[in-house]
Amino acid sequence: MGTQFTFTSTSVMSNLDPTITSVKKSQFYFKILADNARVYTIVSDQSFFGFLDLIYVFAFAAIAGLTNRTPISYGMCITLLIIWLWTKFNIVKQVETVYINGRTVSRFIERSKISDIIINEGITMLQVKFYMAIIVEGQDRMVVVFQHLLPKYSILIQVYRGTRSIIFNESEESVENTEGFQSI
Amino acid sequence: MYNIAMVSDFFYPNMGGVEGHLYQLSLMLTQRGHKVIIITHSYGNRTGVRYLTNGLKVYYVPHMVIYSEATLPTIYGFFPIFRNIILRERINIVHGHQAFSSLCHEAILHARTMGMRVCFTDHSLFGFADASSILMNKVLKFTLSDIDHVICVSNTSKENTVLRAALTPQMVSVIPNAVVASQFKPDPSAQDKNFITIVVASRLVYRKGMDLLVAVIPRICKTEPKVRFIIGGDGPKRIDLEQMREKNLLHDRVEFLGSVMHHEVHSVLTKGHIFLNTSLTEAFCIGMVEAACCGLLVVSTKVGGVPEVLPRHMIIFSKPEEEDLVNAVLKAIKMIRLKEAVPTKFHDEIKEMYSWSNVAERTEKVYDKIWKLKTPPLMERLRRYYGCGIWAGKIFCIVMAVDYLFWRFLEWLFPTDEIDIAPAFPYQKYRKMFQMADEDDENS
Repeated sequence: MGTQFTFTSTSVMSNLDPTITSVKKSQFYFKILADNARVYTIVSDQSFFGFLDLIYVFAFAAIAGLTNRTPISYGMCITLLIIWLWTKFNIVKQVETVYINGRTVSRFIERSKISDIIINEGITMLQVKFYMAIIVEGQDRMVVVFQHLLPKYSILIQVYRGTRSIIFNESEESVENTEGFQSI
Repeated sequence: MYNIAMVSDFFYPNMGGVEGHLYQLSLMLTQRGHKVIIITHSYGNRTGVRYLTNGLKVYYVPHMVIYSEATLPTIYGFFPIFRNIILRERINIVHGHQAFSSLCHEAILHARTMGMRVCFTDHSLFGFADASSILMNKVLKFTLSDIDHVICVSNTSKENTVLRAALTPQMVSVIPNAVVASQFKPDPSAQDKNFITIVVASRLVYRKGMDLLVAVIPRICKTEPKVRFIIGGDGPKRIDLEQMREKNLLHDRVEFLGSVMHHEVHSVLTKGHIFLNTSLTEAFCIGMVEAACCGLLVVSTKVGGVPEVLPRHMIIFSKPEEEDLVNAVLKAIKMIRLKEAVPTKFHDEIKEMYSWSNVAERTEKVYDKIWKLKTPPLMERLRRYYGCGIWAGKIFCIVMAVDYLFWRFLEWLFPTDEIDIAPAFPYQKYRKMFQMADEDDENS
């Protein structure tokens, strides 16, 4: 017996750094399709061009205008261009991976193989973030849901409770009692 | 109730005095109702958030290690993750440990910039004359220019720290280390009836007086035929000791155990009648307390904070010289033989004198004291750093000012309201579950 998990995430990454996502303007909604099926969707919209691009344009213009067309200034302009393109490419790559699968990242995990669903904290380079993960028997690595988006804790806890209530047949209230402390 | 962050480079899985101190103190403070987290750097694969007993949360922050688990001081590199941890755990007090830990110094600087209360505990003594000490003392002066309170482990250590960092003595408290007495019960059945056993348990390095040991062991073995030595621990000086054993043909009298794990220390100590400590410098020797707790008579060199640790009837002192040490050991052997000292009674006395709950209570009083202090404004802090020296003062001021600007930048980049607050560990529920489990065990 298996349950289809659909954790849909459509997002555009922040310009600054591929590992930092700001889910400032994000929407979270879930649909209850049937007795045993729920779909959790987190949508974040961030524009492709942002404030930082203006800074790139300014820097480019400053270098081009103020210096005297020396080889060094050409070098600087080209380096700036390459850096800007690289940040854009990261966004495109992230979005593309989602697009290739048809706008949904869906994995099929057998119900019997699910050992546990947990919320854990992980240290990235500059922050500590919460993530929700599914521990699957036989696999070394956990399956992290909403991997790139890493939404806020308040959103995550709702998804956590909802999935736990369906999969482990716990009522929503009992899940609330174990809030906050789960670790491997 | 306070939310406290203990910061140090040295923590589990590294084993040692500072690590044990951090762990026990944090456990006791949690039992008293505070929230304690520990921030340290990553050990090998061990990065991220881990939980220890009683819900003690440990953050292993990824870092670059240079030597012997001390990290590279990239002063501002640690700031973003540190700020994130402090804000998500809602910390009020930052408590740094051990002067050799660069993570501790950085954490104190950043905590001060963010406006927290700060506290520092020093676990060792330092000289004043050699190059590493001079540098260390300058760094310490920097950190301790702007701090709320300092804790030292012995009165000698207090004098040493006050001189090194030019502090006012009112700002320094003395809270000695402690020992978990139930782990070190005496066991007369483990002792050898025929031989008097002398136990030495320490790192085999120069500052622990290994050269003295090399000189003393052959003389004692020659004078007293029914005495043997057990040496636990490892280090660069082990070679000298083994050479001494070879030269004097003492293979049956001297036994080497190599590194002893923390949980095996008790079984090693109970085998002995006498504990020998030959350190050349020591702030507070917890090994002696553990030995006395196990029922051994202690012989030690009278250096540093050693005279303050044990009462007179449990310990025999000597100067850190060969002749005096030999006399002291012979005296101890005679006392054991004539049953003038009854070391097995020491355990009960030590249990009264040293306990971690006492240390936690006194530390809590320190926290109450610093809670009443106000954090100084930026101008005041600059003034304090400026007084560190002609060149150093200016450099320190620059470092601190850049730190402040960096903080402002971080506040803009990662706003405070976007940081998720970490849910607190439900300690009361945890205790109840344990009590219920204990009751079930008793009933069934």
